Amino acid sequence: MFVRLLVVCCASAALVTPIVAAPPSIESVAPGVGQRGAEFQLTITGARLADPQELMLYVPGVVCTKLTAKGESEVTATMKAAADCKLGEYAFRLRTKGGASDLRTFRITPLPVILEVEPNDTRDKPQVVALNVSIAGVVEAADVDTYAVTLKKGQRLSAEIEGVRLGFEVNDTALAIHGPDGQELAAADDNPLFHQDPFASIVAPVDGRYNVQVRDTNFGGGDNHRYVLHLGTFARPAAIYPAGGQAATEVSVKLIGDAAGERTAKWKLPATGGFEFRPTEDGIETPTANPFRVSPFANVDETEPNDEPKQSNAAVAWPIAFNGIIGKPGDADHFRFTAKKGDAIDVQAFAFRIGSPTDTVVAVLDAQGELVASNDDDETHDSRVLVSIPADGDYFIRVTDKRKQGGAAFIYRIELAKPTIGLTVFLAERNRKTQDRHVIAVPRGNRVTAFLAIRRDDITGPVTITAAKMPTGVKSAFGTVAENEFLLPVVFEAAADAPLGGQLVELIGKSGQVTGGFTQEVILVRGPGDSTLHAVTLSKLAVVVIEESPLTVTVVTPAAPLAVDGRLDVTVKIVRGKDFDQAVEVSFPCLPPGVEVPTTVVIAADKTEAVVTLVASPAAELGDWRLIAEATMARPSRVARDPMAAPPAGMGTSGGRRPRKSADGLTPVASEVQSVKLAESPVKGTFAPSACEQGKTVKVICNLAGAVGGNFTAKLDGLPPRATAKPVDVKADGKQIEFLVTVDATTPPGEHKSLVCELTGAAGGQKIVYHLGRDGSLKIDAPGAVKTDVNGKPLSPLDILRLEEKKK
Amino acid sequence: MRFALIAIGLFTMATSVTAAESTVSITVSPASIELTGARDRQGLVVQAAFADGSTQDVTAEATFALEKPIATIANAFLAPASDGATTLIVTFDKHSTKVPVTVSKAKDAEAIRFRTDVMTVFTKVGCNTGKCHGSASGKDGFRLSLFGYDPDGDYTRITREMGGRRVNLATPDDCLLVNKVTGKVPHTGGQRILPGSENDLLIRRWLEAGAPKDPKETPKPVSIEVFPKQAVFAAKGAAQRIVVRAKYSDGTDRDVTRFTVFVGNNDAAASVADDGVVTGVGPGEAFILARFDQFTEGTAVIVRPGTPFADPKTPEFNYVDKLVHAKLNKLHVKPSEVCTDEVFLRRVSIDLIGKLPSLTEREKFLADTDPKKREVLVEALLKREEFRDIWVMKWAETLQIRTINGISAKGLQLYDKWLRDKIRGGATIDKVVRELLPAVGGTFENPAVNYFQTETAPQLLAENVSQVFLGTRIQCAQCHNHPFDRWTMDDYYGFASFFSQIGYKNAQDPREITVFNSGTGDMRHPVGNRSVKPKFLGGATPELKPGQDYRAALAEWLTSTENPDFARNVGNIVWAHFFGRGIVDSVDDVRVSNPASNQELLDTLGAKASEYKFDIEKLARDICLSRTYQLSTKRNATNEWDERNFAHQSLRRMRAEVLLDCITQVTETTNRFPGLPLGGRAVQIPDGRTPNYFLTTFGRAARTTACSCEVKTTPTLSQALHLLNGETTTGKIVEGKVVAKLLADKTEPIAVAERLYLCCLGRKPTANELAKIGSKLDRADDKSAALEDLFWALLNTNEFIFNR
Repeated sequence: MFVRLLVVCCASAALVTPIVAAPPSIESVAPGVGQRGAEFQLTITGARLADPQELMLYVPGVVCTKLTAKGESEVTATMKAAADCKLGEYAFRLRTKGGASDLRTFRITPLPVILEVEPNDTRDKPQVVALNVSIAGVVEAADVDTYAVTLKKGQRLSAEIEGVRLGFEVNDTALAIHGPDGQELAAADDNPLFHQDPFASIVAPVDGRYNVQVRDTNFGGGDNHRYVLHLGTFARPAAIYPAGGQAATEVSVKLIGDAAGERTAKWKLPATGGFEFRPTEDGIETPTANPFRVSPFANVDETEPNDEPKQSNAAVAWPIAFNGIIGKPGDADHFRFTAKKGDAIDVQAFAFRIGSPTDTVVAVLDAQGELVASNDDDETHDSRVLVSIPADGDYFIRVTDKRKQGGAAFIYRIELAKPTIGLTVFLAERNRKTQDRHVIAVPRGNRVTAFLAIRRDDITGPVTITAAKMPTGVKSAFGTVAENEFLLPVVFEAAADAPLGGQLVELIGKSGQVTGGFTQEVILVRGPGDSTLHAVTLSKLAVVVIEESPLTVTVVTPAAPLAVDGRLDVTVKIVRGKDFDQAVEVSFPCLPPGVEVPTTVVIAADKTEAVVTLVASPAAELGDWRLIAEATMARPSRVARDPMAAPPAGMGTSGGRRPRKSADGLTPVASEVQSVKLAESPVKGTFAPSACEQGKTVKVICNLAGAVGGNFTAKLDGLPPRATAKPVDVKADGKQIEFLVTVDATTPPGEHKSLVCELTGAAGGQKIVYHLGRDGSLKIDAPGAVKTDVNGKPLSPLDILRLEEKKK
Repeated sequence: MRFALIAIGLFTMATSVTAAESTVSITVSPASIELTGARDRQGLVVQAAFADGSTQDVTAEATFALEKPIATIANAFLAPASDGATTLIVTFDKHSTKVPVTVSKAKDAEAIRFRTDVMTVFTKVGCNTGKCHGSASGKDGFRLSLFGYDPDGDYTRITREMGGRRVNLATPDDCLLVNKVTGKVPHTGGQRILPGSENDLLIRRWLEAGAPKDPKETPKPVSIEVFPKQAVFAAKGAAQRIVVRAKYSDGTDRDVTRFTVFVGNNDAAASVADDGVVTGVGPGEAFILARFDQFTEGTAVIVRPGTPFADPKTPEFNYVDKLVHAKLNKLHVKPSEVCTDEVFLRRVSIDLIGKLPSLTEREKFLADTDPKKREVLVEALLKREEFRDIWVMKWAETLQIRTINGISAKGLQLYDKWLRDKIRGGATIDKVVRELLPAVGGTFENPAVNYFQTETAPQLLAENVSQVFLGTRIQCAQCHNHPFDRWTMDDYYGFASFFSQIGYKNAQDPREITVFNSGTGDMRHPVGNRSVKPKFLGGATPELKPGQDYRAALAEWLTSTENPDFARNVGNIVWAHFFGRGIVDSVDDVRVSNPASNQELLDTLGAKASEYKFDIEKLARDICLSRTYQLSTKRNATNEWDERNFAHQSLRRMRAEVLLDCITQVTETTNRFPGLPLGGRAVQIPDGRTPNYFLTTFGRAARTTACSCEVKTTPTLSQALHLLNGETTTGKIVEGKVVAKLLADKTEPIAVAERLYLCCLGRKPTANELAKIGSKLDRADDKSAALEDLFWALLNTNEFIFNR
């Protein structure tokens, strides 16, 4: 037995549930920020934190040197940030023996970190701080936090908040800077660059003490509304122009929107990979970076006036990147490029994505100024259009703002490139709006399943998925995603002796010469609907080995193929660990197309197996398919569906409403992958046309082609109302099934094309069902209306007329 | 001769003349007469004016003489005799007036037309009203257009539906149309027309002629005139006959009095008979509405109390009083006395800043001997931020600032902040509107565009803009021409067309949407589905270039100082704030049939609003410093009956937000409202949907419609119960510990009681009250509890809840 004895405890709410391997949950990470090159501590609070094993970090630069648990609900992580680590966001999961937590983040700042000290609610009682610090604070309900700094006349003060970017709540903050005379010098709320996280900069008009206030934009707030306020003399440009450049070149850029005025800077861009623009002035680095594109091709910057196509810059060949600014309301910018007939060009605007207020509308015009293609928004809110060039020649790109607005910071970048070719592997979400099962947590000696999915960019064909390195003792067959599929159900299996541990696994998809890696967007802060306010993109899949589960599930190999338009019973068996006595719910995350299990499968507390009927529709696809069963503790509502069943222990009389998440953290375990064959049924049936008068009986014959191959019982279904037929036994070599149908005097007359013959038998001890002769016809007539030939075969209306003619 | 018959009936109703004093002048209406065709008739009305400003209908006593006998005169009705031109001399008392008369086509009996003859009968007898066949689904299987807005459709339904039955040309005297209307067969509406009456004959002659369809060139009415425009009855019992003349598209006119529907708006003052004779019933004013075809005009009637009256020569503090007194003199009403300083301080504080005066403010004001201290006080209050908060709240109600249609809490907050910053920054409502209406951008980026997220349908936007900024409700005209006003469906869709090109798209923040000018799209007229060009309401059709933002043109026109409707509306809204009712009331219900109680005052306030560039502060100052505003609520014998001419101040219950703020103020507590920092005031609540039991119970505007009627200040049982038993008063008394603090300061219990009176009611307790409180306190073991009970009782008095 793999299942280990688990502690059973009586929950206070009169719920008796087994404590099984369950992942930790994190409710807050304080202060959520550390300084580069420094050692700092993160206080992680939540549940099931008693046995912290590891902080799984997705990128290098910061390491966790120590994890100290303080009871069930708090862990202190000691972190060490390298002197040259990247600034900004670090994603992590906390792993315990029960699994790995949801993804959380902390941030690294170049400035020393200090903590907010309440009370600091009013401008006359501020928290006095030094310049160039990162303050970690909390906006409690209706809270206002005030910080005071002393400035010399002419000195710049920049203030910048990371609130939503801390990845916990819609911590939508507002910021205000007041001068020594109490006058408001700057106020900031949302902005195109950092969206909900405000920033502002001022140049001190006089020597004195300046107040910086942070509050919730709606005077809301809460204990977990943490923020980091970077406060100092650093540069804080609202925009960078151009906001992109060619890889491995030096770019010269303008920094726009800082209180100290426009600056220029030069940077050397890397040859590969991304780049973060972070100006350094007076030795102080701007704490958070402006977005910046690194592209393989050269820049062409606009030269005004270019409001008309004829004023546009000289033609250039593509691929190319055009940069410009919608300088004033109603501005239109034009760029000229040459292309050849048949060129397919992916014209892509970057504005929203580079923190610009511009709402681009991009049009491609031909040399005569006629519109070839245009676009307002794609899913990124920026314009993107795939253009097929109709003829050799010059073409224009026209950029405008949808709202006809403009200004100094209305930067944009248009890239003309070949359409992207590639593929990406990602983890399909099991439960929307949660991070449920984002981590593959495999109990020792057990299996779990996950759906890997493929995104194909301009490629076709099957994709084979493999993993670079799996945790010790864990294996998965992965497999190939068929050409017309995008989902692949995968079973991960951990050996019974696999060590508890985890690995961030690199997955690789391969289709011909094209390979692609794994990517997963984890939404940390959600907006209304399905929208995202803050997300982290991961390139590795977390796979962890956890303690044994008290449940294993197996599917008995089906003894026969499942027939199209048929049914097949399969047996699912479970093994419960000691002290686990709950009802178990079985689901089938992976079934052949067109096949379903129409009922909920619950194995009662006193049973260990269930017979499950697979139902194949007439449209089910033939072939060999996978079948996986998943089992977990049954939800009380499911168990309660059987009115005769006793309520589960501890449910009491209150009805017991529990969260939908798998019962108390018991990770659903999977069966091994079973192969199931979908085949045509071995025998075909055709109904001979038959007719009957009301109140009489008629023989309805179904002719068989092929061999039934066993003793079956045939049932005639789809009879008209109040017509009945008794089941008939069918021999293995039967060629015909004859039903005697009794038609009632009130059975409605007309042609009833709904007959079907259901053959029920068994194979390998399991029930098997075929449906034959669908849409067979039975005509019901008023008494005296049926004419038959000498053989008793009903005549068609034409034959009846002929017969009557003959008689004359 | 059937016309003459009616005329006699009309005429015998007129009262006889009893001229108490000699007439100053007479007015003969109409001032000129044109008779065209043998069927034409024209009634005359002679009105005499007296030195005291009253008028009298002297038509019956006047003598009429024609210089040439080209027409006949009977009972002040002129009928054509032969073609030509002449002069009618009308004489009464020592006055005579000449009226030019022309007669043409005297011998031509024009055919009876459906629209101009038959339909007018249906309208007059009420066939096409909303509760009869004019209902959207008709009545008993027969439908007519409401008040006849669709003559072609009515013609079809009468003549083509149920062929041979409703109209039977073979037996015109015996078809359903005639039988029903004359009550010959059972008719739900009963007998509407007497058999043999002129109306009956008109219908039957038309049927006898074959129920012809009107030829294309049939003239249509283009306007109507009502004579006389006004009447001032010296006492009840006097009568005045009204004559209505319609002008037609071919330049002719016609006396349509007998086809006109008359409705009065104040039967307690004057009633109007079906034939247009108005009779004074009691002291007061009434507006007699005359509706013919799609036109509505009216006559203002004043009925004086009939008691001796001399102009009291009431002092005038400013132009407001001059205009109010002029009207009061006309009514023979004297204004009340000016209120005391104590009352004025409390009243003006509540009205201007939504707060009660503090004890120090009170003491200072009462001790001040400066004769101009009221001016100084008003000036000081006008400069306070709370004054602007009140107006932010009022404008926020008109803009319906609330979370709806996906407006997020943040969008709402920014929208409110935008308005607040504008008003606090000194922006006037015209500037707000000029920025709001053409607004483009994201709802966070440019919060003004939230206006177009609150309401997205062009029709509703047009209705709201018209109601809020022009005080005119055009909703009726969406489906049919307005029955009590001048608005037609063309006006409605022309106005809605300004909002037909608004574009919406997702913005950068998922909680935000972007509003832009799409530059395409049009407004379709439901009758005929034709495209309707933008047309200003009651104004011109502007020249608009393709792609131009229509809304900008609208904003420009709307807020122009040349637009008297906008200015008058602003003036009226401000006025209503200080008197509890508008000069036109409700303030957003300006229509022909709901005239201003003092048009001159309204016009002047409008002119002032324009002159002040819509600065509310200046208007408020004029009003608060007027004697009229400062009048006592105590009435005198002459103004007892008056409710609409501002002869006295009215008792006004504080609006919900102000009341809650005042309770909070006197109990020295704080509130925590969503979207406001701790201690925010109810008048500052940004979201109209903020749930608050107190505010809802006391009739706070939910801002779900643009209607001014959303703010309710009528008392209800639940309000009383809430104050008595609810959490607000008791909870706040306990929370604020006002009594405990005062007692702790060693204040004598009786002094505490006095202080509570001063705080809550702005006055000291009377000797009687003091004696009763004293004896209660003497007997009380727990002085603090007894005083808290007193506090609670004071908060429950009408004297506290009402602004006096």
